[in-house]
Formats: sequence, structure tokens, C-alpha cells
Amino acid sequence: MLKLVGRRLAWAPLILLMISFFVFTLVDLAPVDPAVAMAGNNPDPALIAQLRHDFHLSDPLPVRYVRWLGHALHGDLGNSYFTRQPVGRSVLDMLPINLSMMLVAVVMILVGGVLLGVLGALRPGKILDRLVTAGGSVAVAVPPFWLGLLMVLYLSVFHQVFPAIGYVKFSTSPWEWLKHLLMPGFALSTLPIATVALQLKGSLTETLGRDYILTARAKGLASKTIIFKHALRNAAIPVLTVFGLQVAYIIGGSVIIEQVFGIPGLGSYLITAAQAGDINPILGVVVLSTMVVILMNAAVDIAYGFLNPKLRA
Amino acid sequence: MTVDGALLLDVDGLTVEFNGPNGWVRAVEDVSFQVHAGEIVGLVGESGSGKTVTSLGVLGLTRAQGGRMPHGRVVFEGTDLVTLDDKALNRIRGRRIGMVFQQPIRSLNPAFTIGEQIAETIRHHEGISRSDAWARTVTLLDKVHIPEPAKRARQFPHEFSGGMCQRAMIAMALSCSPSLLIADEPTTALDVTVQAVVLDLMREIQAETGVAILFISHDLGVIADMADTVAVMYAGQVVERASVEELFISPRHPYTAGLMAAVPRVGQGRQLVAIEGNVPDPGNYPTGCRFHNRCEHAVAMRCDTDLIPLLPAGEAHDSRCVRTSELMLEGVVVA
Amino acid sequence: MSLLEAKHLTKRFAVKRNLFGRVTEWFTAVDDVSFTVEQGETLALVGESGAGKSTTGRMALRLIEPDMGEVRFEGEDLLALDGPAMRKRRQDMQMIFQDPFSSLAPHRTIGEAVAEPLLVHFGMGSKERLAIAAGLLDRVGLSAAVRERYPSELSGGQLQRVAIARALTLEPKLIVCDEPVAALDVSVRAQVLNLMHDLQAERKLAYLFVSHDLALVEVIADRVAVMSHGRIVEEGPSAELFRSPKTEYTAELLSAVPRPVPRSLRAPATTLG
Ligand SMILES: Nc1ncnc2c1ncn2[C@@H]1O[C@H](COP(=O)(O)OP(=O)(O)OP(=O)(O)O)[C@@H](O)[C@H]1O
Ligand SMILES: Nc1ncnc2c1ncn2[C@@H]1O[C@H](COP(=O)(O)OP(=O)(O)OP(=O)(O)O)[C@@H](O)[C@H]1O
Ligand code: SF4
Ligand SMILES: [Mg+2]
Ligand SMILES: [Mg+2]
Repeated sequence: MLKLVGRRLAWAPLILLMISFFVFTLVDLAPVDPAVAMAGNNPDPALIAQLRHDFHLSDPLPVRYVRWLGHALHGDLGNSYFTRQPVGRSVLDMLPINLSMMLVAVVMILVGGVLLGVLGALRPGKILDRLVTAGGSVAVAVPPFWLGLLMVLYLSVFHQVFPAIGYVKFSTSPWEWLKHLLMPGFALSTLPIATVALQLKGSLTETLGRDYILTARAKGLASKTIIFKHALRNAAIPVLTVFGLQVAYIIGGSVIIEQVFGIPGLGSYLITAAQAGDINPILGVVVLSTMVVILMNAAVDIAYGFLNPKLRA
Repeated sequence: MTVDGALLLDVDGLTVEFNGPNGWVRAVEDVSFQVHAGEIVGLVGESGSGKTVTSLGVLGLTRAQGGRMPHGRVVFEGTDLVTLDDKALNRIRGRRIGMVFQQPIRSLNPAFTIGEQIAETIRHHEGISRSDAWARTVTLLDKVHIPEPAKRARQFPHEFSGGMCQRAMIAMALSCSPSLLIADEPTTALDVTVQAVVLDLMREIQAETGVAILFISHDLGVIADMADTVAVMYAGQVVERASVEELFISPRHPYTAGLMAAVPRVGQGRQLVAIEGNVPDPGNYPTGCRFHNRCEHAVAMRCDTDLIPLLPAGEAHDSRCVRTSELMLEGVVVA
Repeated sequence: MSLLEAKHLTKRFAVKRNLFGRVTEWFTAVDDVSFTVEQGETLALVGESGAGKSTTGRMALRLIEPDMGEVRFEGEDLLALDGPAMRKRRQDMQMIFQDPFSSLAPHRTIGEAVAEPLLVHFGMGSKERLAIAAGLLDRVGLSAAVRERYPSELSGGQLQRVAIARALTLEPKLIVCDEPVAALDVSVRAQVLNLMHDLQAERKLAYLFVSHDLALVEVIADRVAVMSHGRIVEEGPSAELFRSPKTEYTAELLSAVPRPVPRSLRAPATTLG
């Protein structure tokens, strides 16, 4: 199993290389000229030419990419054309915000998904099962930003239950930190909760019909033990894949959710940069999130081995 | 073998229904048999005759499968199990009554080691310490002849062969020294040679511990090999009950006799003796004797009208056939 | 000339592959197996689970390509035949499986299922096909009403009759039967076996009968080949092999068969060995 994880991680450099090159090309194709953008409102052609020269913007794409790569391999992700701030620093500063958001969302997915999945599987075909199925089908169709806007409107503007916007550091006040993250976390995790719950419900229903569950009943174990110990562990295996995909989805979804809730995270940073064709910040964010996804997948692989002893070798 | 033990399990008029598309269907109806302490009772019948439902009904496990038990008594060690709730039943399941199933590999949880699953049963019922339970687990595995039990206890079901899984299941079923072991086709999924070993093991353990066994099989050969007394099931009913010797020498129900005749015998030539027709499904059981449309002794108006009760057919011998006293049927063994 | 002659059949399966998909560990399921089947006779292939019986049976029909060896049908080298020639040859050799349900398409009526080979091989018209199918179903003892039904509406014994009828449509000379009655009830098993025997006598059919039920094989087979770990360890006329097995393995296999005689009534000598 560790071999499997190792093999997956061995691919990571290649994946990063391909993705960064792809993004590099994509940004280059965009109709935004960073030199023009940098030159401000009254672009002076001389200034533009100067900027082009300073930032090597006229070099052919492969040359620029290789130069970026060379720096990146030494840990230097370059500076933003506009703020002149080093991308590495900025990205690392903002990472805790996004990790916080992810953490809250993942906890919500785990608790909500497992709870609803188990409740739905207890009595197949009965009311709870149908409720979970119906609720899940609706939740899967709700766009997260729309849900976010609704929540802001009802829970912050009409009734001041939660703060509408912003972010507070955990070290400043854990309570405020959580309060600011609950709504964005929920908006992000609704769809994943529904997906995980539906998957788990199906998988658990099937597992509860297995022979070894009957064995557990014949041993005189309580239903609680049977469900949470004997069934859930096996039922979780097929759900893990879905869970991994959902985490990747959260990373993407948080770009929009940050806008809705005015959270100064990587998503906002990315959008600002994208609008100006500011390539280094874009690449920085992309490389970082790719790395998070790769690590996440490795964690899922390890979880596989933990749940399924056949994979441990 | 003689039956001199006290009455341990008295199943009387057990009926189990399942909810089907056309309402409740009786999978098992009016099943009655007894198991005495230290006895091996064979329950034999074809697929769908209700053997598994009967065994699960005894433990109240049909409820979890969507079945209900409208009639019957299951008196075990003086208590009617039908009247108990799940909580009370859970103190009997696995502790006083152990159970072994047909598919040994599938009946063990793939996510836990063999040892964990056995120790769990012991700890659940006896509340002893982890290390004590583990020590007993290893002893139990040794008792069912698993080599290197301490090492094997740490392995997962997929690292065991079918025969070894079944031995582990037997160890688990016996872990709390029950007075009754229910074995539902314990060797059907195994090779003949492995089957022989497991059957020997069960006999050995039975002799050693004196546990009574309800032994379920569709194989007359295995039943003849294991049982002291036998109940034959057909279409959800017990159609004949007798000691194993009596049953194989002089069966009194035409279905039992038909089953015995269908066993291939050397020297009979290529033509086998068949029972015509098919086994009926629950919900489509014929009226009167459920065997009447396949029975060569059937008589109109007598066999196909009223439900037929188990009728006495000799000393500790019953048969669900109106013509029991008139028919001379042949068994497998010529006495 | 034998109807079927298999020589030195060998089949290996890949157990482990390395990073690049190259096989690093093989398992030899069938190892240098040779046998013959004559016209109109039954050769039984017995042995424990995993001995390689099914794989051998399939190789005999070239449903699995052997890694080594030779299969001759009426003297013709089957492995040398190209696609169209092999397809043509297939009319003479059919297969019946243990689970008749999974070998029949669920949404096709029984009549259509039995008639299908006639369409595939001869492109015969629908009317003509169904008429032949009706005749065959009648021959295997199924009523006309069954033709319109679907597989899920029949019992196991009835489905196995359908599978037999289907195997007979092209009037084959050899049928490989892989545990054809193992899934059937005892009371129905004899019906199907009797039918198979009648058809054999009627049409001079040869059976390669794969089974693990020795008590049954003893009665229905002319000759028996005992397989263990991919090899045939013993072969001979059924009566002889059962009376005096030559190998330890066969003797052990035979003594393990539970006979329907209560333990207390067994004379020590009746336990066969
Ligand atoms: N959970 C269930 N829901 C509905 N019907 C059921 C259920 N369990 C069993 N039955 C029906 O009850 C009848 C008896 O089944 P049972 O499993 O007891 O047969 P059996 O004698 O054990 O057969 P086998 O030899 O195939 O195990 C069958 O017709 C089966 O379809
Ligand atoms: N496609 C395959 N890939 C890998 N291994 C295979 C494959 N088919 C068969 N085997 C292996 O080859 C061996 C022989 O299989 P085969 O099915 O021929 O046995 P058998 O004698 O018919 O057993 P059974 O009585 O269980 O049907 C088995 O160990 C099996 O696991
Ligand atoms: S009651 Fe009639 S039909 Fe039933 S077994 Fe007896 S003789 Fe046959
Ligand atoms: Mg059963
Ligand atoms: Mg096979």
C-alpha cells in the first residue's frame, strides 16, 4: 500500500510540470497584455516597450516558461508584476485562510455525509431513506454561490446571526474564526455532503445485506456496534473515491465562495491576477492547489489501505 | 445413538412470513422439532424448503431480514425466545446459541482479523479483558486445528482458505461455550476432502464439549453421516421426523423416499430415479399436501384438499402424509 | 479416430504484473493434460475446486486458447483453424454451464434464446427458427407455454433444460457440460441427467462432463479422468476406477464422499476406499 502511495507521489513532479505549462500557455493566449495593464491609464508606448523589456515579455513562450521553471525549482515563484510582492510569500500568507475554510468544509462533509448516509440506510425504502434521497437530489442541484448569497441575505443582513463578510485569524479569536467560516463552509459543503450521503447510503445498504453482518447479528452484537463498527468500515471504501473528488471540488469552489463572503484568500488573489494577466501569482496558486490535491489523494490512498486490509502488502 | 439428554430446544408450530409484492408470504409454516442436550439433529431439504429461515427464526433473526413470526413457540432452555426483544435475544445469540453459516469466507468481516472477530464475541458476552479474550481466542483456534494459531489469529479472512475460515467460524460459534450450535450447510461450499475434515472436527468437538447441534444440509449423505435424528423439510414444512436409522431404513413420507431413490447408486444402470415436476415457490404452494402434484401415491380428494398435519408413523416417527399407514416405502439401507 | 483428442494441453494465467504490465508470476492452471472422447460416450472430469477442470473443458472447445498442446476434432486440428472455419466447426461442439440463468439473456424469450444459434449460423428465417425451437423445447419436456416466457420466470431445473435445448439446436456431436446439475435440487437433478442420457442414446452425443460430484459420476460416466493441481492423475473406465483406484489421491477423494448410510449402520467395509 505504501508502495502504491509512493508510486502515486512519484508522478507528482510530472503532473506539476504539465499543469504549470498548460496554465502558462493559457495565460499567454489570453487577450490581456500585462505591460499595457501595468502602464496604467495613459499608456505611453515607450513605457510599455520599457516594461516589456524589463520583464522579458517579448521572449518566446518556451524561454519564459523555462526561466520561470528554473526559478521555481529554487523555490522562487517570482513577483507580482503589479504589487511587486513575492508570490511565494503572499501565497503562504493566504494559505491558512483557505486551509481553514477547507477544514471546516471537510468536517461538515464527514459529519453530515456520514450521519445522513447512515440514517438513510437504516430502513431501506422507509421515510428517512426517501427524505435523504430527495434532499440529496435537490442539494446536488443547488449552485453554491447562490446558496451563499441567500445565507448572507437571511442570516447576516435580515437577522444578524453571522457576520456577513471577512475573515478573522484563529490566533486572534477562535470563536470569531469559526463564526466567519461557518457560512462559507456550509455553502461549500452542501453539494459534497449530499453526494457523500447518497453514495454512503447506497454502499451501506448493500453492506448491511452482506453475510458477515448476519454473522455479527448471530453473535449477539448490538445494532449500533454492527452499523458503526462492522458495516461502516466496509461501506466507506467505495465512498472514499467520491470523497477525494469532493475535496478537489471544494478547492475549486472556494474561489467563488471567497468572493461572496469577502474572504481575502487565494481565490481573490487569483482573480485579481487573472484580470491583469499577472502570470506569476496565477502559477503560484495553481501549483500550490495542485500540490494540496496530490497530498489529499495520497491521504485517500492511505485511508484505503487502512479500511481494506487486502490492499496492505 | 440414544437421545437421553434433557429437552434443550422445542420448536413448535414456527411460522415465518415475508412481505412480498402480493402481500405476506409464508416461507415456513408450522415447523416443529426438538433438540435434546448433546444431540445432533439434522434438518434436510431442498433449496427454498425453508431450512435457513427456520434456523434464523429460532434466533429471531428473520426480523432483521423483513420477516415476521405470526405463530409458534421457540422454547430454548425453558424460555420462549419468540417473546423476547432484541436486547434479551442478544444475550442468547452467540452466548447460549452459536451459529455457523454456509459461505465461510463471506461470513467473516473482511476488515478485521480472524482473532479480533472471535475475541470480540467473547468480550461482548463475558466482559473479560482484552488480553484474556485474546488468549482464549488462540486456544480456540488451536482446538479447531488451525496451525500456528497465535500467528493466524492476526491474519485477515482473505488470507485463509475456505476450510480454514469455516474452522475459524466454528471456533467463534463455540467461543462462549453455547449449549446449542446451529450449523447452516457448513460444508456445502467446501470440497469433499475439506468437507470430510470439517465434519470430523464437528463430531470431535461435539463429543468433547457435549454441545447439541442443529445441522442443516441438503445432502442426504452428510445428514446420514452426522445426525442422530432428522427432520425432512419440503415447501416450508417439516414432512417427516425420525431417528436417522429409522429414516434411512424405512422412510414413511413419499417425498423422503423419493429423495433417497434419487441418490445415484452403483449398479442401477444409467437411468436415475427422478421426482417429476418442480419444487413450488412460497406463495404458490398447492392446497392440501404440498407434495401432491409430484407424488406418485397421491389420491384425489384425500391428498389435495385439507392441510395435512404431522401424523404419528411409529415410535418417535412422524410423517405429514395421509397415506402413511398404507404405503410401503423403500429406504436407502436394506435392513 | 477419436471424436475429440486433446494432447498436452497447458494453460498459464498471469498472477502478478510489474509496473510496466509485464507478468512476473504465472500460475499453471492446466499442465500437460491429454485425453480423448469417443463418439457417444461420456468422459467425466473430476477433481477438487481449482484443479483446472473448467479451464480444460473450455480449451477443448477452444473457448480459451491453450498456451501449448493440440486439440483435434474428428482428426482436424482446431487450433490451426481461422475465424470463419472455427465458427463453422463450433456447430459440432456446444457448452452447458452450471448456472443456466447467467448464460441466457434476461430480456429474450425462451423460444428466441433456443432459436438464436440458427440465426447466427444459418441466417434462418424467424418462423422456421421458432418452429425448430418449439420442437426442441418439447423434446426436453417443456410445455409450449414456456416459449413465451423469460428466464427469470423459470425454475433452475427448467432453465437447465432450456440450456440443453439451446445446445442441441445445431445438432452438435460433443457437448462440454460444466457442472450442469450442481445448482439443481436433488429431486430435479435426476430428471435433467436422465434427459441428457436419453439424448445421448438418441443422437450419439458425446459428453465431456465436468463435475466434482463423485457419487454421481460413478453412475453416469463411461470413463473418468481425475484432475489435481492442473494434471490428470488417473484415468480409466468408471467402474474400474471406482472399484480400485490406483492413486492415493483418487482413493482419498473417494473415501471423502459421504454415502447416504447412517454412521451406526455402516459396516466398516462399506466405507469405500
Ligand atoms: N428475506 C427474505 N425475504 C423474502 N423471502 C425470503 C427471505 N428469506 C427467505 N425467503 C424465502 O423463503 C423461502 C425459504 O428460504 P430458505 O433460505 O429458508 O431456504 P433453504 O431451505 O435454506 O434453501 P437453500 O438450500 O437454498 O439455502 C425461499 O423461498 C426464500 O425465497
Ligand atoms: N481467467 C483466469 N485468470 C486467472 N486465473 C484463473 C483464470 N481462470 C481460472 N484461473 C485459475 O485457474 C485454476 C483452475 O481453474 P478452473 O476454473 O479450471 O478450476 P475448476 O477445476 O473448474 O474448479 P471449480 O471446481 O472451482 O470450478 C484456479 O486456481 C483458478 O483460480
Ligand atoms: S398425502 Fe398424498 S400426496 Fe401427500 S405425500 Fe402422502 S400420498 Fe403423497
Ligand atoms: Mg439455506
Ligand atoms: Mg469449474
